Amino acid sequence: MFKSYSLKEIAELTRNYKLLIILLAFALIGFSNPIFAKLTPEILATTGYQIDIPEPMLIDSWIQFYKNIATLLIIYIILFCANIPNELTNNSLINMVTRGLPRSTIILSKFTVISVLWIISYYLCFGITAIYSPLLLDGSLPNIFVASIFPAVFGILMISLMLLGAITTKHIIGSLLVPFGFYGLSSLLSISDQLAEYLPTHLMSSLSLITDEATISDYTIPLVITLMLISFIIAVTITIFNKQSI
Amino acid sequence: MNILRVTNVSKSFSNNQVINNLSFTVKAGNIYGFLGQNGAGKTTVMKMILGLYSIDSGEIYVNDTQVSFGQNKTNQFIGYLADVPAFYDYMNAREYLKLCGDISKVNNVNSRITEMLELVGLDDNKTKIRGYSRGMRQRLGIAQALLHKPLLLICDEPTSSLDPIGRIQILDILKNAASETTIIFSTHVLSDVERICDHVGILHEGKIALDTDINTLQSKYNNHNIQLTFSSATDLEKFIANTTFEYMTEDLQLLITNANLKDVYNQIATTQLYPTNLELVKPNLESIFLEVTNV
Repeated sequence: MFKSYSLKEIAELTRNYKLLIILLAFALIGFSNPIFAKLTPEILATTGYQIDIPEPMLIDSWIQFYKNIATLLIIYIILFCANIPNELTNNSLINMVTRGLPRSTIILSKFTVISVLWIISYYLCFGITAIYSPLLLDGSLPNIFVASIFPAVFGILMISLMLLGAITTKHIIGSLLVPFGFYGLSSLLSISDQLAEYLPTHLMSSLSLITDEATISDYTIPLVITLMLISFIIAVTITIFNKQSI
Repeated sequence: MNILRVTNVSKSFSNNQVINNLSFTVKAGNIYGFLGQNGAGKTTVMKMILGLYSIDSGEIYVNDTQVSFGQNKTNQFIGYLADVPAFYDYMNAREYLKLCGDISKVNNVNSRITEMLELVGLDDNKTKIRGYSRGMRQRLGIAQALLHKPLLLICDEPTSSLDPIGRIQILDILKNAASETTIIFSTHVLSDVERICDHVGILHEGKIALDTDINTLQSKYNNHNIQLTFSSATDLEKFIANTTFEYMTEDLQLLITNANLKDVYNQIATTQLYPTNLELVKPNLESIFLEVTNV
């Protein structure tokens, strides 16, 4: 059942061109990271201002990557926020549930497909940046791959929150408010240095690993907390869905 | 053998008690017409049978297995056809039925799909469901509901959104399907029930007001209707002025309810007002329904 329903989710992504659009967008950003890093001094020079900008290096491409990935995550969540509310409002889930598809399978299938696509898209962007940047920019950097794991996991947390919001409110607004509300609250709490290093949002600052301003152990606790939160949120989402009238 | 057993079930939404201590059973092989006015709670009962709605009290058993809200253990026995079934519109009929068959673990799913498409009269082609008419969507709904050979087919007002021809076609498909499955058919269109059902339950004020087979129902209720047709309105008015019967009039016709033929003949002889036509009217479900629900 899990496989059948997951294949249906993938077919839906293919038929409505969402899969193509997402992969193209992430690939485009992957190419743009080193190109913008390389061209930024020249672009600024055309403005006529006399700014003393150092020669762009490899790190500038990765700074671009970490800036863009947060934006891409927001767009990704927006693209999927209607998935469950639409199925609930147009009653297409009823035929599935009434023929024996467990509600937990619906949540787990959607979570798996959306998360796997996130990982594939994210690493497509990462891979293109990683391959293309050394061709345009000089320098060598540590921990590039390890650092990339943390924003990817944070993305999965946002996806789980989106599903929770969608099931709880049965509305697109809810499926946006819950993840972005969490992101906002977590960012607000990050003002406190003592709290910041434990919060999931800390995972989005893993650029520090590449710039050698942090070590991998600095991210262990927020990573574990985030993984636990993901499991908890999915379990809560399934529990709520099991008790809902549809 | 009872395929469905509903025992003392109650359901409220906020402070509105929709279902009140409802009990009824459906025997295997029946086509059970589940009648009720709009808003009587028919869909609520069906969704409780499907485990889609919780119940406040009582028990529901399908094939001797208790229905649990949110779980779908009993749904393996049930096929469900909604009034306006929703599909994944980007699929064609075969793709959709394949998905349904895989979820229900149907054996030889491809040949079963071919069989079902033939039964409901849908072409096995690449046309996407989004291009289907209402009637075609309803046929696909029946195909998906019957795909896994359910013991019980629940149809929630399946003809309500169809034109007369589409309605007759869907009813004929359901009648054919009845050889393999028990059917509960909810509707407020009484002629549909008369056409295919062999058993009727009338839901009124949250309870089953009447539960009987359709022949018994028609012989038990409303069997004294006598229709007289007069040659003039004056004769009709004079006849009414002298009558003690309950009646309804339309044009030159007088429909007498709850009287026997002897009394009517006596009044004709007494008043010397002879009708041009006297007819015993066969009871129909509509009049029975109105009588039972006191509308």
